[in-house]
Amino acid sequence: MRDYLEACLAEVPQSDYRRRLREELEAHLTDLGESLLAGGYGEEEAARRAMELLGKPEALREQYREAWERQPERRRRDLRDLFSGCVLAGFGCFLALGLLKALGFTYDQAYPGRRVFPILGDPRWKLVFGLALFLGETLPNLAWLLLRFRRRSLRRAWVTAGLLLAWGLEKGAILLLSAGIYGMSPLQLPRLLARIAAGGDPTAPWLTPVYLLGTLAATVLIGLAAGG
Amino acid sequence: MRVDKELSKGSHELLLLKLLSRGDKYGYQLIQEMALLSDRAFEMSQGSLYPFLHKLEAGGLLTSYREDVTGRSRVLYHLTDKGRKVLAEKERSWRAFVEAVESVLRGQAECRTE
Repeated sequence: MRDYLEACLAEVPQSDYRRRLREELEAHLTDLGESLLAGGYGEEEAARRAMELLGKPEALREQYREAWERQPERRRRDLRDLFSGCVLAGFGCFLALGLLKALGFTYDQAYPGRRVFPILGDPRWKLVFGLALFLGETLPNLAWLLLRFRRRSLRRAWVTAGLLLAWGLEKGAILLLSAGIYGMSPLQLPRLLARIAAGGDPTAPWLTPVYLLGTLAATVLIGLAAGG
Repeated sequence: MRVDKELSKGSHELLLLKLLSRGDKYGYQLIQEMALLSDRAFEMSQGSLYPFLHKLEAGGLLTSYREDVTGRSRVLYHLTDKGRKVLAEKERSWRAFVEAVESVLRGQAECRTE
């Protein structure tokens, strides 16, 4: 009976709903088995017949998966997964920043005698830096979203939404923090962006309008391509 | 006589709501009563019953609670006020449907005899 129930519930992840469904099915099978025993069936035959009457696991599996997708618990879990992906993206971003710094990337100009890759004033290093940072924050989130939303209807939309959410939160955080540092209003976006990316002591030299638009387009494309 | 599967499918909601209007019940009881009262004409796929009940619960037509019945913990289903209203509406609509079908069938029979 255990194997049968596991087969029926294979598409419902560990959750309160799975526990509830399992308990109800178990009680149902027990009642059915007892009634068949009382009707003259042998113990094994009664158990086998009870499972037969409940239905084929292949058919029930799909119904239970659909029922799980309608549960409010499922929606809460989806939101939690989306935000967990954002946290992962944040970790990925910090990890990438740390690695880039360890490799010798710096915002400042090259120091004579030191092996550094200055991203201010050097478009090549700025591109490498921005790309590494984008991949560092996007790939862990993408892997997480693909794992959490596998076998889901509208998977492509969920994955793209998760990537876009992380993209928006990260960029929004940089804008808000920088606005606080420079004492500027976040609503003056062009001026704020110019200040963030250039001038004395920029907070994020790579965060140019081209970078914003490029990463936004790449995020959508990656989500649509990988989520399918 | 077993009723055509497609025909009975659409009436499961009405039948379950009706059975629950007579008192709170758990899944196995519902299946048993449905088969017994219909002389096995309606035998719902037993494994499909639970997602169906959960759907009705999510729609606010039922609520569920746990209770020990004959020494075993059961999930019992209770018909809500909203469920009663929907049941009344479905009953009216079902009777109108049956009457309409009947009158067509009778009309056919009369046409043949004329």
